[in-house]
Amino acid sequence: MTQKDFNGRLSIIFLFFLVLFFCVLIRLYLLQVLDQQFYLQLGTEQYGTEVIMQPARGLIYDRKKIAVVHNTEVNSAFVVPNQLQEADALKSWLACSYPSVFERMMENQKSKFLWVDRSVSDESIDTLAGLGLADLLYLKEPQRYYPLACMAPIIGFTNIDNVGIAGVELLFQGRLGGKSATFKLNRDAHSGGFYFTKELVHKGIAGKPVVLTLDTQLQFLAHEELEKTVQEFGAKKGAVIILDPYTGEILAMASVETPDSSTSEGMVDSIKNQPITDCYEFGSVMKAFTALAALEEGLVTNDELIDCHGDTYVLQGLRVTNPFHAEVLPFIEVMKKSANIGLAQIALRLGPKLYDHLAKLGFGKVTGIAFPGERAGYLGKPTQWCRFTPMVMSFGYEISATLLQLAHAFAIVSNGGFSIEPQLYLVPKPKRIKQPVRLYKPKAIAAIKEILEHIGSKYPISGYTVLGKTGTARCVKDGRYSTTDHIYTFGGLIESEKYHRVIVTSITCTNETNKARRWASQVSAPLFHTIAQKMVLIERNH
Amino acid sequence: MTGKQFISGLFGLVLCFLFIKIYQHNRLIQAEYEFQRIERQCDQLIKLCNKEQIRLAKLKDPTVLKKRAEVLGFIPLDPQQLVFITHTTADQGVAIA
Repeated sequence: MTQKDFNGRLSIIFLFFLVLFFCVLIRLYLLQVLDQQFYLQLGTEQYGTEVIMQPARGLIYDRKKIAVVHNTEVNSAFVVPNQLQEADALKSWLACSYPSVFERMMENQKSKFLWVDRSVSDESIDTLAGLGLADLLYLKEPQRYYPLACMAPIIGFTNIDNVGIAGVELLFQGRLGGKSATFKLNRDAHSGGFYFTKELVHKGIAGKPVVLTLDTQLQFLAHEELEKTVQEFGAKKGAVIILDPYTGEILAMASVETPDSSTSEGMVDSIKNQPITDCYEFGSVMKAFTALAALEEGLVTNDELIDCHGDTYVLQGLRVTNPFHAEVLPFIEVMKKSANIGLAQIALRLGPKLYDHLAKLGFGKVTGIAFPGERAGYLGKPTQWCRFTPMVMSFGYEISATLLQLAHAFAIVSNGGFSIEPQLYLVPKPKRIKQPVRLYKPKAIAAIKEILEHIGSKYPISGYTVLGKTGTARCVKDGRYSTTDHIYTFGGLIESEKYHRVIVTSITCTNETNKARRWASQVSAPLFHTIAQKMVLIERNH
Repeated sequence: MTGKQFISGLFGLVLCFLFIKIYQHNRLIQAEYEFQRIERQCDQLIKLCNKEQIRLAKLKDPTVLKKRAEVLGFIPLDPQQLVFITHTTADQGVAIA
């Protein structure tokens, strides 16, 4: 080969590689410059992913830092309709076992995610796994576990997405649930769940705990005794509140409802926190506050003789009946005998001032506990009264209240006449609590306590002074006062040198026959007595 | 030092730094994976802890405890059997045996 031939061939090879180089250059230009956005997006989609991380929900504790709710996980099953491997097997199974899911899948076969079943038990998951369907996938979802049934109406619950929908879970949804954080992850195809960069997009907030004022032990005690009483008397429902009258902290708030399977309302009632959602006319238990008002105004003294006119008497056109026969009695005995005629006369002396006192004691307005579903009750203004109103109001009709309002009013009596605000939680710190203001003079408080102690002496507790007032009232049924439905209430105070508690109990009985006519002293007062006896025992041990 | 030697040395140094950089990058990813592995272990331990807490809560359930106590022959305490010594007790003149 001559030098000329060699140079010619070399030039051809050089040209070939030059053309190849330009081809590569053009291709590179096309990839890197012209189609840059397209390939950039494709690459990002392949190894970049955005992950939303839900923080663990905050726990709820009682006052002794015992967790009353726990975080757990439940299994859920899902499919990815646009990536089915054995579509026919899955479809035939879904059509048979989950027709609604099958319908949804058929409507949108290109969807990327579809729930089959959520919150499935471990046994059911084993059964599903045993079917051997490759397209049926599982994941764990966070859920709440509530170990104490007696706390249910207060704690409430979360929905299937772990969002609070009732009770404290709803009240503190923002605090307990926190805020989810968003991360951008970069990972390769072979690293499994691992990633090589993690970039924070949105900062999350961890769920924070809530500490309640409730005491698990007292709550269980109140619930257990209440359940026994409800069963014993075949009652429809009952409720109990235990309160510290100096701090306003609610130590127990139990409610029991006999489930009515015939209606869907029965289900709702069983999870209702009755002491704050149900309003009643409590009857004679309200006489304590009529008496307190009269004592404060100086319109009566404990030893003043009051004519109770036997069994029935027409007072200013209203026929008033005493529950028990009563003649001329000192006021303290009028209260013990719960003589309506005696109290009606005292109410007439008070007139519209009775409204001022009942409003001062917190009736007719919410207590400020901020619990979902709290009701204010009803306290008519004097401008709305008829001439009989003060008389019937004096013995607890034409005024409706929640059990919490009743406990609140008794707490004012117990703490020496100072205003308080009922509290249900210690953490987060309640909004600014108002400084206690003296609402009643010590003299009036001493006098009402003497009356209540006179009544409460029937329920002695060794080492403690027991004060209380019973109330038996007719429930309103179909727009009338029923002769068969009654509510039995007891408002009681337990006191020693440095120990003060308020316990309010109520039992609602329906469809009672006249033969079985009972009084609060037989129904709600023994319940109070049992709870009080056991409560002092528990609290002395701590 | 000739220009050729200088360029060779520079090239060697660049190559060396390049390898160090690659090594560091790999170590970083390795450490990141290790961190994620520990994070996962931590999550598993938290889940295990939650499970144990639930198991404990079930065991401490007052209803369960009460039933077990009854099986063991315990009977509920009658509070009236007890007398507490307080000022009020003294005022009430309760005799304490």
